[in-house]
Amino acid sequence: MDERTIEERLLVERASAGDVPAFEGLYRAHVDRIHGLCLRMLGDWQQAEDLTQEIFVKAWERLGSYRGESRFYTWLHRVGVNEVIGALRRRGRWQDRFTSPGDLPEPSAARFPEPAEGVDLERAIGDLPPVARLVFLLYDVEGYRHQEIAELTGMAEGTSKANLHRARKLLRKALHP
Amino acid sequence: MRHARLTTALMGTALLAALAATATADRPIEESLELAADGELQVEILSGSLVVHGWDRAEVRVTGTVGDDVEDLDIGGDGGRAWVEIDGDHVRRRHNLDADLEIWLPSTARLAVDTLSADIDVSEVAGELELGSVSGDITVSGSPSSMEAETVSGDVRLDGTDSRAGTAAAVETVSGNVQLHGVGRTVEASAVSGRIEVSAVAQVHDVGLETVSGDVELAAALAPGARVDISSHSGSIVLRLPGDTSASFDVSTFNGSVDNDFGPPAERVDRFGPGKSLEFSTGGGDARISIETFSGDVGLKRQ
Amino acid sequence: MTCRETLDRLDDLVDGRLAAAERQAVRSHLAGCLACSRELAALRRLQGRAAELPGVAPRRDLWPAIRNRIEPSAEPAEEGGAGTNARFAPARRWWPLAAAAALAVAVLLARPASRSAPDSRATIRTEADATPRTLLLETLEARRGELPAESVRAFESDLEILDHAIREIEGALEISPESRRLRLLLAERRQQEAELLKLLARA
Repeated sequence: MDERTIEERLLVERASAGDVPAFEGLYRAHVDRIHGLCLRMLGDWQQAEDLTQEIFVKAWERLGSYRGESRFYTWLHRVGVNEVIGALRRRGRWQDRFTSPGDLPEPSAARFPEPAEGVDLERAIGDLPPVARLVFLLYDVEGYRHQEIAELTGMAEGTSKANLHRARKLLRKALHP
Repeated sequence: MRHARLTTALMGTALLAALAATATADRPIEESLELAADGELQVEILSGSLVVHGWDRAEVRVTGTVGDDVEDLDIGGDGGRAWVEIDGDHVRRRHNLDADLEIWLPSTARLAVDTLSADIDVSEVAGELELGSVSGDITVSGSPSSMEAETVSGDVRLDGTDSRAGTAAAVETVSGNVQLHGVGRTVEASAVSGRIEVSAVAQVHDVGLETVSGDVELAAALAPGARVDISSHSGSIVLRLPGDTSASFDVSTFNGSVDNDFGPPAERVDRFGPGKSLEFSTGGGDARISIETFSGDVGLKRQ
Repeated sequence: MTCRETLDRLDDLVDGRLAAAERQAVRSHLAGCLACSRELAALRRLQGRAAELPGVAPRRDLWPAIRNRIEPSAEPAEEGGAGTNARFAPARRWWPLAAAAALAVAVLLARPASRSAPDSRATIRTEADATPRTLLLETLEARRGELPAESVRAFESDLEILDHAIREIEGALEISPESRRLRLLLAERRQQEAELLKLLARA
């Protein structure tokens, strides 16, 4: 176990005990990735910021139930993904839970930070239909397996695979027309 | 990728020789109480999740877990009324006040739930439901005799398509989406930006739907003498009725369009301004239907 | 194996889900097919870039707001404490709301006996000119700390929608002041606004 992991374990233990500065350390370590997921899924800075706040507050409230069975980031991320899905469902016509993708209204354009190569990919991701986008971010960016995505989102594993396939196809087309 | 990227140095904290023992865990719950078949169960939880099933015993069973920081947990009953209540000053301290509960209650009992953010899922309850949340979603399946639901941003969904008598429903929300399938007798729903979609399995005699920007869709057969009032500002309104409906229609919109399957395509322009209004009757003009929007489009369709 | 069959299996190939026999068949095809090989390369490149997608920092530091919610001790960090618009701290879930006498709307006051006693430091204005909208905004502000941020945001946004709708109707009435239908629409939207206040008080 490397030094960083030990440090993080200690922070988690202290935060679980109510140590707010320790929780701030965890916040600073992970906020960018959590916020990045929210921003890429919601397409709106303000909403992403609100949701990020919500996620960390919930994580704080639930630290008592984190038992170290998975990496802290993974646990935190599950809290985050749940909130993202909740936010998406409340935001638009999320009718039959993922069987009719593309029903959501288009998110406002999120302007991402600079890297020139990255802008193309970010824009292409933002243009994906919401369900495919979510599965792509969870699978290829965040590294979840289809079975985990199925549990998190309520969609069938087959639907998750189909959406990943669709996302990759659309992205390849958008990046190399 | 799944490994954490610690982009900034972790806050330096001195290694402490002794850390407070902090292993907190959710407490499991397993309780049973008597409750008469026509009794009432009240559930109040702040956050977490709630799944409720109806069954044919005169008994309430509560299982699940509550967060270790729940101090005020009250489960009790007197045979006619039962309650499951979790309370707490949840803002003040870090704590885990989640209650993840699964509850069985007599299917003919009355159920009242109040929560801040828990999702509520109720099935196979035939009695009356009164469900309130702020951000939690409310999902009901089966055929409760009546359902009242209130949220701020949570969605409300009734899946009662197998029902015969239909559920009398009253739903109030701000931005939640409302889907009520399997209503009967009376339906009331109000939203601001939320969308309202209603389909009836039994005749309705009283319908009141309003939104500001959300769209409204209603598919129903009307009882004799029924009253239907639908109002929106910019949301579109689509009404689907059986072809042999007997009703008098009063449809008006200031800026929207009207698409009418039922007869007179003529739109009489309101002589006071750009508004359009359309008044006509079908059959014997028995039911009374009033639809108004400011800029939303209106569609009257034959089912 | 045809190109079509190979392309259909590329995802499973890179995700490690192909059985040995199928994997062999796909690789054989790829060895002799430039087009499909290019597709595979593009897919791997995409995966590589996806895995490298960076986190995105919020535009501003969210920590103070988070800290205030998990530990609102004395006064919130970024707001002044004094004044009639002081935020509730510690915020409780319920408290009484006093309605302006001039308002036609009856606002819910009491809480059921089973709940904790409400903190009565409400600073809601009760002068005759307090409108439902003002009360709504003040109520929302006072309860911001204890309601889910998503709900608060949704409420604010929908309040804007409702307000905009009311102004639109009022604008139309200026052009057509005799329109009874416009007056009815306006009355309904105002009634809805008043109902929102009751809903927020109950939340």
